[in-house]
Amino acid sequence: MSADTFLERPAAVSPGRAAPTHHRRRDNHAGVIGYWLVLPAATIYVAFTLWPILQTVYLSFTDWNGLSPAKSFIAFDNYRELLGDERFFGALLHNLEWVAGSWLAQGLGLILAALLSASWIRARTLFRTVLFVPATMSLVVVGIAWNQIYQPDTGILNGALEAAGMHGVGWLSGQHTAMPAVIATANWTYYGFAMVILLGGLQSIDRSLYEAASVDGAGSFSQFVHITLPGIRNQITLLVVLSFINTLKTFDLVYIMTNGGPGHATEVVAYYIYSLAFVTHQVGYGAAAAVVLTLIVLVITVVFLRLRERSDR
Amino acid sequence: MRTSNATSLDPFAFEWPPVFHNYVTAWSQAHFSQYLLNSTIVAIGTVVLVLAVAFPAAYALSVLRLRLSSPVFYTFLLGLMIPVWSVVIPLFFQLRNMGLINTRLGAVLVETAIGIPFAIFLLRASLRDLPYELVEAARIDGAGDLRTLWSIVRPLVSPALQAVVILQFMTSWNELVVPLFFLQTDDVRTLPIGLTFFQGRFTTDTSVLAAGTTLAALPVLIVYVVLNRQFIQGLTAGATK
Repeated sequence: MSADTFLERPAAVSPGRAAPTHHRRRDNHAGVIGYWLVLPAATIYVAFTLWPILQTVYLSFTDWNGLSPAKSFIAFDNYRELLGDERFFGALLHNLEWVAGSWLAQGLGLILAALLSASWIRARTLFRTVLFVPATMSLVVVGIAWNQIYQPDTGILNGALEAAGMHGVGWLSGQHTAMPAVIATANWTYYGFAMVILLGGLQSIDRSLYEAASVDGAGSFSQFVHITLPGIRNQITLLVVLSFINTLKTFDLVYIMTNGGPGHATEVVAYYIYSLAFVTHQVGYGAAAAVVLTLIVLVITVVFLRLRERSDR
Repeated sequence: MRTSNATSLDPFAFEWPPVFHNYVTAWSQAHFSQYLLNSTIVAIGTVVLVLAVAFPAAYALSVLRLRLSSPVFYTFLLGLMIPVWSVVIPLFFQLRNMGLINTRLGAVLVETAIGIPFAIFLLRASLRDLPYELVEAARIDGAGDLRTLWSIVRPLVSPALQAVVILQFMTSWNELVVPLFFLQTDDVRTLPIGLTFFQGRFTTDTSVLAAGTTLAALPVLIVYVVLNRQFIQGLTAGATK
């Protein structure tokens, strides 16, 4: 149900229970029915996910432009071109900046979670509910709202700066301000999730550990380092890994706020794929970029699953 | 609820009396009533279809002890890891060939395919705790498999089913990429994509844009306020994909 299920129950991805022999006759009956029950989901999944993935891999070996009926097989040419494509690596770098930037949101989430789990806090649920609202919102809504905030002439941000006697900035049009501005917007939607996950971790720590530590004379900083941090180690790992996986796929805010601009200053890999396949009609090349993105995400996921298996042992 | 002029002068101040005609404009002239209808159809259609196919599949894969349940489950699980970008390019041409491009059914099918892996993952996590004896007992009492599924299993895993409903509704309602590629005409656009185009075309009319944005944000916000606990649980589980 919660992320903890995913974190602490490798059983969920372990092989199913073996059928005891005395059930065999009934299992055959159940088997036939069972496969019929799986069939509708499998059909939709194969037709609209698995088959298209294979097609993407196939297209990545062609020079198809999406328009002409002709496409020729060019083997690994697209991948070779991708290796020397500065725009692709620039986009990947922006993704990595985004990952690093999102750790600010995780930090904020940790502070909020620590505050909310403090014993003196009242109306904990209300605070949590309100603080979590941005995480539930459509990125389109968030992007449009923050576009208004960042407006150079009419936006509230420059309004506040000018009221304080400073000069306003063209936040989303500046070469150096656009990326931080978009990442800040993303962080506004991220911290709530980190807060909830870390709150769950903090509440699962045994209170008596802290009491024992105080009796032994450990200060609150030392308690934080030796009890709190190890206690939420799994949650922190999860958040860091998710920051990579989700951020590598990110697209919506860039599409709504900057279209990758100014120049390519805020272009991320997903946006580059979009513009290759659907704007400049380099379908084969875009497919190759999509395959590379997928491989990166898969590798990170597998490494994470391995790490978790090892820490569970 | 305010005029464009006032919005641009001071975007966060209240204006009294509230100007409801922005909502009327958003509703009638900016096609938002159509977008709202489309969003509703696509989101509810996806929720219903995901439940209808993922629940029986998860049940079969976790309770019925199929010989192939493990490899089949892993194949579904693979879907949790792959970015939408690895499917959209050929899907665009595939849907066009199938006559499903710019149809709400096409978007429902694609979003269902994306939603199935997680729904199965989440449902299986609670279904695998069910004792097999329960299913056997139902069978001895003469209940068919679908009957068992509906009358006996469904009530027992209803928290997980609720989480799937809430999460899938939110994902689908907020979805941008799928409608961006597969719903490109005004009669089938959903709210997020309609808003995006509205923002591009009429950048000056901020108050109608704000009205439309509010319309887009409200349904999920209402679900969130009403079903707060299940919502947060579902979302934290959902984000682990």
